[in-house]
Amino acid sequence: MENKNNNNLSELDQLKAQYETLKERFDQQEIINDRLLKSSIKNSTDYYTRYRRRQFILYPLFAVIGLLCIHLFQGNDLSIMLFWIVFLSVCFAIEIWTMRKLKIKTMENNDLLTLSNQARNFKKLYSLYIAQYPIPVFILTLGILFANTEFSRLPNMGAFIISLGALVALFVGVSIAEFRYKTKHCDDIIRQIEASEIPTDNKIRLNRQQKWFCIAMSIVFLGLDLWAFMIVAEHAKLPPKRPHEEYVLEYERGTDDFTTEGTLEIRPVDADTVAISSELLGGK
Amino acid sequence: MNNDKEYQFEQLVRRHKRTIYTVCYMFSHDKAEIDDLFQEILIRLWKGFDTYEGRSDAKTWIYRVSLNTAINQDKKERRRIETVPLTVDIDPYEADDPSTHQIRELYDRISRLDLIDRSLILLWLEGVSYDEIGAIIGITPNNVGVRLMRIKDKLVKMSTKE
Repeated sequence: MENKNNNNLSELDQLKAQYETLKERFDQQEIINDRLLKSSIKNSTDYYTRYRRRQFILYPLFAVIGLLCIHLFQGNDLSIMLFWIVFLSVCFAIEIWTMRKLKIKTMENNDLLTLSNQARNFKKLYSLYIAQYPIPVFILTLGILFANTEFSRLPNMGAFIISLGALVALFVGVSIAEFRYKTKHCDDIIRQIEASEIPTDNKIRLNRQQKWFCIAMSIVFLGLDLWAFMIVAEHAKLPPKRPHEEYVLEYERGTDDFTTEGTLEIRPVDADTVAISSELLGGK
Repeated sequence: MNNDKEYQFEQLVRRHKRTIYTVCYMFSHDKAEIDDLFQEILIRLWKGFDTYEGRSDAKTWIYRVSLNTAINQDKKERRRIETVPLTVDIDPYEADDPSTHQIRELYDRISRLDLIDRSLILLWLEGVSYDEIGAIIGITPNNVGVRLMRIKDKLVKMSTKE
Protein backbone atom coordinates (compact mmCIF):
# COMPACT_ATOMS: atom_id res chain seq x y z
CA MET A 1 0.00 0.00 0.00
CA GLU A 2 2.74 2.35 1.04
CA ASN A 3 4.68 1.36 -2.04
CA LYS A 4 1.69 2.15 -4.25
CA ASN A 5 1.27 5.56 -2.62
CA ASN A 6 4.95 6.29 -3.09
CA ASN A 7 4.65 5.26 -6.72
CA ASN A 8 1.66 7.57 -7.21
CA LEU A 9 3.48 10.43 -5.57
CA SER A 10 6.54 10.02 -7.73
CA GLU A 11 4.35 9.84 -10.86
CA LEU A 12 2.57 13.04 -9.88
CA ASP A 13 5.84 14.70 -8.96
CA GLN A 14 7.11 13.77 -12.40
CA LEU A 15 3.97 15.26 -13.90
CA LYS A 16 4.49 18.47 -11.95
CA ALA A 17 8.14 18.60 -12.97
CA GLN A 18 7.13 18.20 -16.61
CA TYR A 19 4.60 21.00 -16.20
CA GLU A 20 7.29 23.24 -14.70
CA THR A 21 9.47 22.54 -17.75
CA LEU A 22 6.57 23.43 -20.00
CA LYS A 23 6.02 26.70 -18.10
CA GLU A 24 9.71 27.62 -18.38
CA ARG A 25 9.84 26.86 -22.10
CA PHE A 26 6.63 28.70 -22.88
CA ASP A 27 7.61 31.68 -20.69
CA GLN A 28 10.71 32.13 -22.81
CA GLN A 29 8.62 32.40 -25.96
CA GLU A 30 7.36 35.70 -27.24
CA ILE A 31 4.10 34.06 -28.45
CA ILE A 32 2.13 37.28 -28.95
CA ASN A 33 2.91 39.78 -31.67
CA ASP A 34 1.36 43.13 -32.46
CA ARG A 35 -0.20 41.88 -35.67
CA LEU A 36 -2.00 39.11 -33.80
CA LEU A 37 -3.34 41.50 -31.16
CA LYS A 38 -4.50 44.05 -33.72
CA SER A 39 -6.12 41.35 -35.81
CA SER A 40 -7.99 39.92 -32.80
CA ILE A 41 -9.25 43.33 -31.73
CA LYS A 42 -10.23 44.34 -35.25
CA ASN A 43 -11.81 41.10 -36.41
CA SER A 44 -13.60 40.14 -33.25
CA THR A 45 -16.38 38.28 -34.96
CA ASP A 46 -17.53 35.25 -33.08
CA TYR A 47 -19.43 32.22 -34.34
CA TYR A 48 -22.77 33.83 -33.53
CA THR A 49 -21.99 36.94 -35.58
CA ARG A 50 -20.82 34.85 -38.52
CA TYR A 51 -23.92 32.69 -38.28
CA ARG A 52 -26.17 35.78 -38.19
CA ARG A 53 -24.42 37.25 -41.22
CA ARG A 54 -24.94 34.01 -43.11
CA GLN A 55 -28.64 34.01 -42.22
CA PHE A 56 -28.94 37.60 -43.43
CA ILE A 57 -27.73 36.43 -46.83
CA LEU A 58 -29.51 33.08 -46.98
CA TYR A 59 -33.01 34.17 -46.01
CA PRO A 60 -33.42 36.91 -48.64
CA LEU A 61 -32.07 34.35 -51.12
CA PHE A 62 -34.72 31.81 -50.04
CA ALA A 63 -37.33 34.55 -50.33
CA VAL A 64 -36.35 35.42 -53.90
CA ILE A 65 -36.11 31.78 -55.03
CA GLY A 66 -39.46 30.98 -53.41
CA LEU A 67 -41.18 33.99 -54.96
CA LEU A 68 -39.78 33.07 -58.38
CA CYS A 69 -41.07 29.50 -58.04
CA ILE A 70 -44.50 30.76 -56.96
CA HIS A 71 -44.56 33.13 -59.93
CA LEU A 72 -43.59 30.34 -62.33
CA PHE A 73 -46.08 27.76 -61.10
CA GLN A 74 -48.92 29.83 -59.69
CA GLY A 75 -48.63 33.21 -61.39
CA ASN A 76 -48.78 36.31 -59.23
CA ASP A 77 -50.65 34.63 -56.40
CA LEU A 78 -50.45 37.26 -53.66
CA SER A 79 -51.79 35.05 -50.88
CA ILE A 80 -49.07 32.42 -51.38
CA MET A 81 -46.39 35.07 -51.81
CA LEU A 82 -47.42 36.80 -48.59
CA PHE A 83 -47.52 33.44 -46.81
CA TRP A 84 -43.97 32.67 -47.98
CA ILE A 85 -42.62 36.02 -46.76
CA VAL A 86 -44.31 35.70 -43.36
CA PHE A 87 -43.16 32.09 -43.03
CA LEU A 88 -39.53 33.00 -43.76
CA SER A 89 -39.65 35.98 -41.39
CA VAL A 90 -40.89 33.71 -38.59
CA CYS A 91 -38.15 31.12 -39.29
CA PHE A 92 -35.49 33.83 -39.42
CA ALA A 93 -36.58 35.34 -36.10
CA ILE A 94 -36.63 31.92 -34.42
CA GLU A 95 -33.21 30.91 -35.73
CA ILE A 96 -31.62 34.15 -34.57
CA TRP A 97 -33.29 33.93 -31.16
CA THR A 98 -32.28 30.33 -30.53
CA MET A 99 -28.70 31.00 -31.64
CA ARG A 100 -28.49 33.87 -29.17
CA LYS A 101 -28.71 31.24 -26.46
CA LEU A 102 -25.18 30.19 -27.32
CA LYS A 103 -23.85 33.67 -27.81
CA ILE A 104 -20.55 35.06 -26.69
CA LYS A 105 -21.37 36.57 -23.28
CA THR A 106 -22.30 33.19 -21.84
CA MET A 107 -18.83 31.96 -22.75
CA GLU A 108 -17.14 34.52 -20.53
CA ASN A 109 -19.34 34.41 -17.51
CA ASN A 110 -20.47 30.83 -17.16
CA ASP A 111 -18.82 27.68 -16.02
CA LEU A 112 -18.59 24.58 -18.18
CA LEU A 113 -21.61 22.85 -16.68
CA THR A 114 -23.83 25.87 -17.21
CA LEU A 115 -22.63 25.97 -20.80
CA SER A 116 -23.50 22.32 -21.30
CA ASN A 117 -26.97 22.97 -19.88
CA GLN A 118 -27.34 25.82 -22.31
CA ALA A 119 -26.36 23.47 -25.11
CA ARG A 120 -29.14 21.10 -23.99
CA ASN A 121 -31.63 23.96 -23.91
CA PHE A 122 -30.58 25.06 -27.37
CA LYS A 123 -31.03 21.53 -28.67
CA LYS A 124 -34.47 21.29 -27.11
CA LEU A 125 -35.60 24.63 -28.57
CA TYR A 126 -34.14 23.82 -31.96
CA SER A 127 -35.71 20.35 -32.14
CA LEU A 128 -39.08 21.87 -31.34
CA TYR A 129 -38.57 24.33 -34.19
CA ILE A 130 -37.38 21.69 -36.67
CA ALA A 131 -40.41 19.51 -35.84
CA GLN A 132 -42.84 22.33 -36.55
CA TYR A 133 -41.49 24.46 -39.34
CA PRO A 134 -41.93 22.06 -42.31
CA ILE A 135 -45.64 21.43 -41.59
CA PRO A 136 -47.13 24.65 -43.04
CA VAL A 137 -44.92 24.35 -46.13
CA PHE A 138 -46.03 20.72 -46.54
CA ILE A 139 -49.68 21.63 -46.24
CA LEU A 140 -49.36 24.43 -48.76
CA THR A 141 -47.18 22.63 -51.31
CA LEU A 142 -49.06 19.36 -51.28
CA GLY A 143 -52.46 21.07 -51.05
CA ILE A 144 -51.79 23.31 -54.05
CA LEU A 145 -50.34 20.39 -55.97
CA PHE A 146 -53.47 18.31 -55.35
CA ALA A 147 -55.76 21.24 -56.12
CA ASN A 148 -54.02 21.81 -59.45
CA THR A 149 -53.85 18.19 -60.51
CA GLU A 150 -56.57 16.44 -62.41
CA PHE A 151 -56.04 12.86 -61.41
CA SER A 152 -58.30 11.50 -64.11
CA ARG A 153 -55.87 12.87 -66.70
CA LEU A 154 -52.70 11.63 -65.11
CA PRO A 155 -51.04 9.19 -67.46
CA ASN A 156 -49.28 7.36 -64.65
CA MET A 157 -50.79 7.64 -61.20
CA GLY A 158 -48.13 5.34 -59.69
CA ALA A 159 -45.28 7.54 -60.89
CA PHE A 160 -47.07 10.61 -59.51
CA ILE A 161 -47.47 9.05 -56.07
CA ILE A 162 -43.82 7.92 -56.07
CA SER A 163 -42.65 11.45 -57.05
CA LEU A 164 -44.78 12.93 -54.30
CA GLY A 165 -43.37 10.46 -51.78
CA ALA A 166 -39.85 11.28 -52.93
CA LEU A 167 -40.54 15.00 -52.48
CA VAL A 168 -41.81 14.47 -48.95
CA ALA A 169 -38.86 12.17 -48.13
CA LEU A 170 -36.44 14.77 -49.49
CA PHE A 171 -37.95 17.50 -47.34
CA VAL A 172 -37.91 15.31 -44.22
CA GLY A 173 -34.34 14.22 -45.02
CA VAL A 174 -33.15 17.80 -45.44
CA SER A 175 -34.81 18.81 -42.14
CA ILE A 176 -33.19 15.92 -40.26
CA ALA A 177 -29.79 16.64 -41.83
CA GLU A 178 -30.10 20.32 -40.90
CA PHE A 179 -31.04 19.40 -37.34
CA ARG A 180 -28.13 16.99 -37.02
CA TYR A 181 -25.70 19.54 -38.47
CA LYS A 182 -26.78 22.34 -36.17
CA THR A 183 -26.99 20.27 -33.00
CA LYS A 184 -23.93 18.10 -33.60
CA HIS A 185 -21.69 20.58 -31.85
CA CYS A 186 -24.09 20.76 -28.88
CA ASP A 187 -24.08 16.97 -28.74
CA ASP A 188 -20.30 17.01 -28.59
CA ILE A 189 -20.34 19.36 -25.62
CA ILE A 190 -23.04 17.35 -23.83
CA ARG A 191 -21.17 14.09 -24.52
CA GLN A 192 -17.98 15.56 -23.07
CA ILE A 193 -19.73 16.49 -19.85
CA GLU A 194 -21.49 13.12 -19.62
CA ALA A 195 -18.27 11.21 -20.37
CA SER A 196 -16.53 13.02 -17.55
CA GLU A 197 -19.11 11.56 -15.09
CA ILE A 198 -19.55 14.94 -13.46
CA PRO A 199 -22.96 14.96 -11.79
CA THR A 200 -25.23 16.99 -14.04
CA ASP A 201 -28.85 17.86 -14.02
CA ASN A 202 -29.90 15.67 -16.91
CA LYS A 203 -33.42 17.04 -16.93
CA ILE A 204 -33.70 19.94 -19.32
CA ARG A 205 -34.91 22.96 -17.42
CA LEU A 206 -36.03 25.77 -19.66
CA ASN A 207 -36.19 29.15 -18.00
CA ARG A 208 -39.35 31.22 -17.98
CA GLN A 209 -38.38 33.17 -21.10
CA GLN A 210 -37.59 29.97 -23.00
CA LYS A 211 -40.89 28.39 -21.94
CA TRP A 212 -42.81 31.40 -23.23
CA PHE A 213 -40.78 31.25 -26.41
CA CYS A 214 -41.78 27.59 -26.94
CA ILE A 215 -45.47 28.38 -26.40
CA ALA A 216 -45.33 31.42 -28.70
CA MET A 217 -43.49 29.44 -31.38
CA SER A 218 -46.07 26.64 -31.29
CA ILE A 219 -48.94 29.12 -31.54
CA VAL A 220 -47.30 30.93 -34.46
CA PHE A 221 -46.70 27.68 -36.35
CA LEU A 222 -50.26 26.52 -35.62
CA GLY A 223 -51.42 29.82 -37.09
CA LEU A 224 -49.27 29.26 -40.16
CA ASP A 225 -50.69 25.72 -40.53
CA LEU A 226 -54.23 27.12 -40.45
CA TRP A 227 -53.33 29.87 -42.89
CA ALA A 228 -51.85 27.28 -45.26
CA PHE A 229 -55.07 25.23 -45.01
CA MET A 230 -57.14 28.30 -45.82
CA ILE A 231 -55.03 29.09 -48.89
CA VAL A 232 -55.36 25.49 -50.08
CA ALA A 233 -59.13 25.52 -49.48
CA GLU A 234 -59.42 28.75 -51.45
CA HIS A 235 -57.47 27.25 -54.34
CA ALA A 236 -59.46 24.02 -54.32
CA LYS A 237 -62.63 26.05 -55.03
CA LEU A 238 -61.17 27.73 -58.10
CA PRO A 239 -60.85 26.04 -61.45
CA PRO A 240 -57.24 25.06 -62.01
CA LYS A 241 -55.21 27.67 -63.82
CA ARG A 242 -53.31 26.90 -66.96
CA PRO A 243 -51.00 29.19 -68.80
CA HIS A 244 -52.61 30.80 -71.82
CA GLU A 245 -50.77 29.27 -74.69
CA GLU A 246 -51.86 28.62 -78.17
CA TYR A 247 -51.51 25.13 -79.49
CA VAL A 248 -52.04 24.79 -83.19
CA LEU A 249 -51.97 21.37 -84.67
CA GLU A 250 -51.69 20.75 -88.30
CA TYR A 251 -54.47 18.39 -89.14
CA GLU A 252 -54.16 16.33 -92.22
CA ARG A 253 -57.37 14.91 -93.49
CA GLY A 254 -57.44 11.16 -93.75
CA THR A 255 -58.70 9.42 -96.87
CA ASP A 256 -61.88 8.28 -95.12
CA ASP A 257 -62.55 11.63 -93.39
CA PHE A 258 -65.32 13.50 -95.18
CA THR A 259 -66.15 15.88 -92.32
CA THR A 260 -63.91 18.88 -92.89
CA GLU A 261 -60.78 20.28 -94.44
CA GLY A 262 -57.85 22.43 -93.19
CA THR A 263 -56.22 22.98 -89.76
CA LEU A 264 -57.44 21.88 -86.39
CA GLU A 265 -56.79 24.49 -83.72
CA ILE A 266 -56.93 23.60 -80.04
CA ARG A 267 -57.02 26.43 -77.51
CA PRO A 268 -56.65 25.56 -73.82
CA VAL A 269 -58.73 27.97 -71.72
CA ASP A 270 -59.11 28.54 -67.98
CA ALA A 271 -61.76 25.89 -67.47
CA ASP A 272 -59.71 23.46 -69.48
CA THR A 273 -62.31 23.37 -72.14
CA VAL A 274 -61.03 22.51 -75.51
CA ALA A 275 -62.50 24.87 -77.97
CA ILE A 276 -62.42 23.86 -81.52
CA SER A 277 -62.77 26.76 -83.82
CA SER A 278 -66.12 26.48 -85.46
CA GLU A 279 -64.78 28.39 -88.41
CA LEU A 280 -62.25 25.69 -89.05
CA LEU A 281 -64.99 23.10 -88.79
CA GLY A 282 -66.92 24.99 -91.38
CA GLY A 283 -69.45 26.35 -88.90
CA LYS A 284 -70.60 22.89 -87.78
CA MET B 1 -10.11 56.07 -24.25
CA ASN B 2 -10.29 53.17 -26.69
CA ASN B 3 -6.51 53.18 -27.04
CA ASP B 4 -6.21 53.02 -23.27
CA LYS B 5 -8.53 50.01 -23.23
CA GLU B 6 -6.53 48.34 -25.97
CA TYR B 7 -3.32 49.02 -24.05
CA GLN B 8 -4.75 47.49 -20.85
CA PHE B 9 -5.95 44.47 -22.79
CA GLU B 10 -2.56 44.06 -24.42
CA GLN B 11 -0.81 44.18 -21.05
CA LEU B 12 -3.20 41.63 -19.58
CA VAL B 13 -2.78 39.25 -22.50
CA ARG B 14 1.00 39.59 -22.45
CA ARG B 15 1.02 38.80 -18.71
CA HIS B 16 -1.03 35.65 -19.23
CA LYS B 17 0.20 34.56 -22.66
CA ARG B 18 1.66 31.34 -21.28
CA THR B 19 -1.63 30.34 -19.60
CA ILE B 20 -3.50 30.77 -22.87
CA TYR B 21 -0.80 29.01 -24.87
CA THR B 22 -0.76 26.04 -22.47
CA VAL B 23 -4.53 25.59 -22.83
CA CYS B 24 -4.22 25.83 -26.62
CA TYR B 25 -1.40 23.28 -26.65
CA MET B 26 -3.25 20.77 -24.47
CA PHE B 27 -6.42 21.04 -26.56
CA SER B 28 -4.86 20.95 -30.03
CA HIS B 29 -3.21 18.42 -32.29
CA ASP B 30 -0.80 20.56 -34.30
CA LYS B 31 0.72 24.03 -34.47
CA ALA B 32 -1.88 25.35 -36.91
CA GLU B 33 -4.63 24.32 -34.53
CA ILE B 34 -2.85 26.13 -31.67
CA ASP B 35 -2.68 29.31 -33.78
CA ASP B 36 -6.39 29.10 -34.60
CA LEU B 37 -7.47 28.41 -31.04
CA PHE B 38 -5.16 31.09 -29.60
CA GLN B 39 -6.67 33.71 -31.87
CA GLU B 40 -10.22 32.61 -31.10
CA ILE B 41 -9.49 32.90 -27.37
CA LEU B 42 -8.02 36.39 -27.85
CA ILE B 43 -11.14 37.41 -29.74
CA ARG B 44 -13.38 36.14 -26.96
CA LEU B 45 -11.24 37.79 -24.29
CA TRP B 46 -11.37 41.11 -26.12
CA LYS B 47 -15.14 40.88 -26.56
CA GLY B 48 -15.57 40.10 -22.88
CA PHE B 49 -13.01 42.60 -21.65
CA ASP B 50 -15.71 45.19 -20.87
CA THR B 51 -17.67 42.80 -18.70
CA TYR B 52 -14.52 41.60 -16.93
CA GLU B 53 -12.82 44.90 -15.97
CA GLY B 54 -11.29 43.48 -12.81
CA ARG B 55 -14.51 41.95 -11.46
CA SER B 56 -12.79 38.66 -10.77
CA ASP B 57 -9.24 37.40 -10.63
CA ALA B 58 -7.67 37.87 -14.08
CA LYS B 59 -6.17 34.40 -14.13
CA THR B 60 -9.49 32.72 -13.27
CA TRP B 61 -11.28 34.75 -15.94
CA ILE B 62 -8.66 33.94 -18.56
CA TYR B 63 -8.77 30.25 -17.68
CA ARG B 64 -12.56 30.25 -17.83
CA VAL B 65 -12.71 31.87 -21.26
CA SER B 66 -9.82 29.79 -22.62
CA LEU B 67 -11.20 26.46 -21.44
CA ASN B 68 -14.77 27.32 -22.49
CA THR B 69 -13.50 28.26 -25.93
CA ALA B 70 -11.28 25.18 -26.24
CA ILE B 71 -14.12 22.84 -25.31
CA ASN B 72 -17.02 24.61 -26.97
CA GLN B 73 -15.61 26.04 -30.13
CA ASP B 74 -16.46 24.16 -33.27
CA LYS B 75 -13.17 23.23 -34.92
CA LYS B 76 -14.59 23.50 -38.42
CA GLU B 77 -15.81 27.01 -37.64
CA ARG B 78 -12.49 27.95 -36.13
CA ARG B 79 -10.71 27.03 -39.35
CA ARG B 80 -12.67 29.66 -41.24
CA ILE B 81 -11.04 32.54 -39.41
CA GLU B 82 -8.02 34.14 -41.00
CA THR B 83 -5.31 33.32 -38.50
CA VAL B 84 -2.18 35.30 -37.68
CA PRO B 85 0.66 32.88 -36.77
CA LEU B 86 2.05 33.05 -33.23
CA THR B 87 5.65 34.01 -32.52
CA VAL B 88 6.90 30.69 -31.18
CA ASP B 89 10.19 29.12 -32.16
CA ILE B 90 9.66 25.68 -30.66
CA ASP B 91 7.44 22.92 -31.92
CA PRO B 92 6.11 21.32 -28.75
CA TYR B 93 4.89 18.36 -30.80
CA GLU B 94 8.38 17.57 -32.04
CA ALA B 95 10.70 16.39 -29.27
CA ASP B 96 14.15 17.44 -30.45
CA ASP B 97 15.75 18.18 -27.05
CA PRO B 98 15.31 16.80 -23.51
CA SER B 99 13.02 19.58 -22.26
CA THR B 100 10.73 19.40 -25.30
CA HIS B 101 10.70 15.63 -24.83
CA GLN B 102 9.41 16.21 -21.26
CA ILE B 103 6.72 18.54 -22.57
CA ARG B 104 5.74 16.01 -25.21
CA GLU B 105 5.46 13.29 -22.58
CA LEU B 106 3.19 15.46 -20.47
CA TYR B 107 1.06 16.21 -23.53
CA ASP B 108 0.80 12.51 -24.42
CA ARG B 109 -0.57 11.70 -21.00
CA ILE B 110 -2.92 14.62 -20.60
CA SER B 111 -4.32 14.46 -24.12
CA ARG B 112 -5.59 10.94 -23.42
CA LEU B 113 -7.99 12.33 -20.82
CA ASP B 114 -11.40 13.62 -21.80
CA LEU B 115 -11.76 17.39 -22.18
CA ILE B 116 -13.20 18.07 -18.72
CA ASP B 117 -10.58 15.96 -16.96
CA ARG B 118 -7.93 17.69 -19.05
CA SER B 119 -9.23 21.06 -17.82
CA LEU B 120 -9.24 19.88 -14.20
CA ILE B 121 -5.68 18.54 -14.24
CA LEU B 122 -4.39 21.64 -16.00
CA LEU B 123 -5.91 23.86 -13.33
CA TRP B 124 -4.49 21.63 -10.61
CA LEU B 125 -1.03 21.68 -12.16
CA GLU B 126 -1.27 25.45 -12.38
CA GLY B 127 -1.93 25.55 -8.65
CA VAL B 128 -5.46 26.94 -8.85
CA SER B 129 -7.42 26.36 -5.61
CA TYR B 130 -10.23 23.78 -5.46
CA ASP B 131 -12.76 26.59 -4.92
CA GLU B 132 -11.63 28.36 -8.08
CA ILE B 133 -11.52 25.12 -10.09
CA GLY B 134 -15.07 24.42 -8.91
CA ALA B 135 -16.17 27.88 -10.03
CA ILE B 136 -14.60 27.42 -13.46
CA ILE B 137 -15.95 23.92 -14.11
CA GLY B 138 -19.24 24.30 -12.24
CA ILE B 139 -18.84 21.67 -9.53
CA THR B 140 -18.35 21.78 -5.76
CA PRO B 141 -14.83 21.94 -4.29
CA ASN B 142 -15.41 18.50 -2.71
CA ASN B 143 -16.28 17.11 -6.11
CA VAL B 144 -13.11 18.68 -7.50
CA GLY B 145 -11.09 16.73 -4.92
CA VAL B 146 -12.80 13.44 -5.78
CA ARG B 147 -12.41 14.02 -9.52
CA LEU B 148 -8.75 14.92 -9.18
CA MET B 149 -8.04 11.76 -7.20
CA ARG B 150 -9.56 9.68 -10.01
CA ILE B 151 -7.67 11.58 -12.69
CA LYS B 152 -4.37 11.12 -10.86
CA ASP B 153 -5.11 7.38 -10.62
CA LYS B 154 -5.81 7.31 -14.35
CA LEU B 155 -2.54 9.10 -15.10
CA VAL B 156 -0.57 6.74 -12.90
CA LYS B 157 -2.20 3.71 -14.57
CA MET B 158 -1.30 5.16 -17.96
CA SER B 159 2.37 5.37 -17.07
CA THR B 160 2.46 1.87 -15.51
CA LYS B 161 0.91 0.45 -18.70
CA GLU B 162 3.63 2.14 -20.74
